[in-house]
Amino acid sequence: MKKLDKKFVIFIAFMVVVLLVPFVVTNSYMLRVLCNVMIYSIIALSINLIVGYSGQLDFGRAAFVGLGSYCSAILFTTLHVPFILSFLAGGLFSALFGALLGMLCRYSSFDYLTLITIGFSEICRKIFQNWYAVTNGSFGFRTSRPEFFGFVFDTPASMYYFCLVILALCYIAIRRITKSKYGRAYMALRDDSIAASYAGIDVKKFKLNCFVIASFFTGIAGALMAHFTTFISPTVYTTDESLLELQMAILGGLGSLPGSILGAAILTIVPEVSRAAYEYRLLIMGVMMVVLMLFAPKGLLGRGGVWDKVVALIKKKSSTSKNK
Amino acid sequence: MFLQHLINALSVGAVYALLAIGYNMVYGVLEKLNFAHGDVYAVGCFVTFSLLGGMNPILAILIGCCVGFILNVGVERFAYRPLRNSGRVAPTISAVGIAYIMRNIIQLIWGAETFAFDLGIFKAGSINVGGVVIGTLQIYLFIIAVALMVIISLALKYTKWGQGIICISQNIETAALMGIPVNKVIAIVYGLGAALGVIGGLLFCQYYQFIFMGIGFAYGTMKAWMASIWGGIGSLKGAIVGAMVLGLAETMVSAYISSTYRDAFVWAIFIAFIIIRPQGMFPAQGAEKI
Amino acid sequence: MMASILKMEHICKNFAGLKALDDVTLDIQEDEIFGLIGPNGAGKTTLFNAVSGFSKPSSGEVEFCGENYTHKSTNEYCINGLARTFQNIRVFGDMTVVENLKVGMHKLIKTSLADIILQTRRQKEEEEKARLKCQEIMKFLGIEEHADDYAGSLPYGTQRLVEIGRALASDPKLILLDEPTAGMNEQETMDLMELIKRIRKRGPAVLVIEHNMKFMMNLCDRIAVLNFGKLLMVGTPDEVSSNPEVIEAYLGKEEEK
Repeated sequence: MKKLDKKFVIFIAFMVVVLLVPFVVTNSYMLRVLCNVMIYSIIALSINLIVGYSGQLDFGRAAFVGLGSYCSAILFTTLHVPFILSFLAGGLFSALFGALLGMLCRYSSFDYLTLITIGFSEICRKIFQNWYAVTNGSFGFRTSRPEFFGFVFDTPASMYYFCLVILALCYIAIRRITKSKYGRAYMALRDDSIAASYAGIDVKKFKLNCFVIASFFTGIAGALMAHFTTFISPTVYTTDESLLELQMAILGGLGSLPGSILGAAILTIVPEVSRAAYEYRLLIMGVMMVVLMLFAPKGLLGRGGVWDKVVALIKKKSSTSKNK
Repeated sequence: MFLQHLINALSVGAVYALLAIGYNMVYGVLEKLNFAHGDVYAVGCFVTFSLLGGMNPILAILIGCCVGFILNVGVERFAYRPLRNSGRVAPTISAVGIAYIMRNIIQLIWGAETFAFDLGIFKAGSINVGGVVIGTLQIYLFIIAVALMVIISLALKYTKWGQGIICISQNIETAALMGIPVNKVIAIVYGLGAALGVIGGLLFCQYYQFIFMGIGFAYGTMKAWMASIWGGIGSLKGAIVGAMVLGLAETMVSAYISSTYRDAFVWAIFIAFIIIRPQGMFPAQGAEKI
Repeated sequence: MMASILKMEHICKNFAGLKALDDVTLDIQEDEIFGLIGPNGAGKTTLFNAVSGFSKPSSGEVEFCGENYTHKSTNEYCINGLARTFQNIRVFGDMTVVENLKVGMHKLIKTSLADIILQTRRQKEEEEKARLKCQEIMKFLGIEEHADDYAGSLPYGTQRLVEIGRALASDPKLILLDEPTAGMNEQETMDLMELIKRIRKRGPAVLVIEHNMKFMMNLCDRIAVLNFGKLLMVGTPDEVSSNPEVIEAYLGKEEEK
């Protein structure tokens, strides 16, 4: 019981700090970075659902971010659909393509699905780049800040709160899914798909709905990104970007939701802070991928990851010193 | 016009075939997606490129191959072998990491520019057969691809090492029990795969007459994948036929449908193909057990 | 006379020319422990796979709970009340024991995605129901103390129990046990026999494959003997153990000795 209370206290303290940030940090650049962290957190969470929970490898998440971005921006700016509708449509549009991709799981093995996700993202990128009539091609597409009944989120602080609310909603929804029969079905088919099918789980159906659900959240993150940066360019939705997003989920820890946020925070903030880290970011990412896989495949906060190891080490140290 | 496209398609296919042969060997033996294949051999290609100025080109190619071999043996030893039994996700991610590292090494040493490239061993020229122009280089490429395929399939069939490779690709545990030095054989396969990749990569650069840091992934790994899977994993004949099909698809799509959407169409065809016939054109047998 | 729960009629299964199962006809009753024995490679596991939707039979019919199930998939079998364990244990290693059992209850938890995301009362009630039921099953199997341990980190025998627990959690009408005593010592085997008898009292019929003859003779109501894919005989343990054909199949022909 005591342990639970401690967790709760930490949670409350964390929430208070997060809510007070815009009062303390008035530097708009820093708030922008934090918004980016939150947007990438949603993407990393959705990747965690696919890679960490259901054990499929997806190298094309950036395409889904792009689908959400373009859909929401085009509806809002070109077609003047109310913001809330176009924002949700971004998620749904991405989910629709998630369903398409999820349906392909039915026919293909793990490796092929990985290739299909890359192929799909390449196809999307080509379309973003070349369909001038709709996406304005490589010139990019300009859109505007979120707007509810006349209230425009145009200050950095208001945007911060907007991102925070969306992240919180996504986090709660994803957490509830992972704690439910859906989450258990994903983990079961990840660990052993044959045993899962004997436990009454329709493996194909759950792979499909995992892709749909995750793509919805990725699309929402994409829509958020579009209205936050107010400018969309096809160069943001490349395979390298997908891999960066995947790396956030892996660094934080597959199967750990707070881990995804931590991973997104580290990989967004570090390149901003250090110029050298920005220049060599691909090299650093490469080394990090290999080292993590070799020594801590569960990342920082995953089960048996770095955090668990450190805690175990400290416990061991303190117990041996007591014994002395 | 169609004939000319066909000839071009076949020579592009021959280049891809050279890339795919090496890839297919590596993929066939452990059936793990190797994301780093192209980027590893690209390092070898760049080494050859640097040596070309003051050295016999054949020697430069050999040194490039050696670099590729040693590099990939090292990568296999330190980044793949420890992960051989840790499921599907970990080795794939590790390979992606290696790909990034290799690409950055190239960028740090040689820079991100595109360089003009010529090995200087192929005489430029062409034959005109009834209005269709065939470059001599295209003919050389074709001959080299077929020759390599024949040599490798003979080596697999008639040498002890070749038989060892086939055993491991069928069942790694049994192969180990039969006294085949599994780790050594796998390391050598990775090394040879990269060495072949260097040759393929150099000929690719020769064909397009440029070299830059991106040749590894976008033009190497991706194309080799498509060709291998199209043809059938673990089948050399399949790799060559798959590469030809890939060359055909690319050339014909950009000639008759759309050159801006070429890659998109080829990917779409590829996805459709692996859904309809996932085992490729010349499959190897296998079944899941309980 | 009890009603039959699983009926196999003229099941054949061919693997590339090899006849793994040849015209097997069996009938398992609603309330019995039915044993399946036979030398290695006799086709026992193949029969399990063929009558549970994993690999469909080449010919023949399967009837489960009075319905034709020949072409149904494994999860449809499960939804209608079949559960199984595997020769080489298949627990979900990266999930806790409770979670493993809850996966077994998958089909019994009736909530929609909307319920889950909005955390409605129904969702909470269903989860609570699942928690209580899993607790009851863990108590039944004597593995409560491992509830929050990860299944992959448990000793072999306990993993076996987790697997059985997962099967029980789905409220099955029939449980297939594929070599449950593999890798167990004498004492564990005896405990398992008691457990299987207790399981039958809970409701489900049991179909078990085993090599351990002593175990089977003490446990089963009826035993079927397979040899080279063919059904040799079906009978009570006494009938089976005194049948010369069965002895021959196990020990080889007189001349060969």
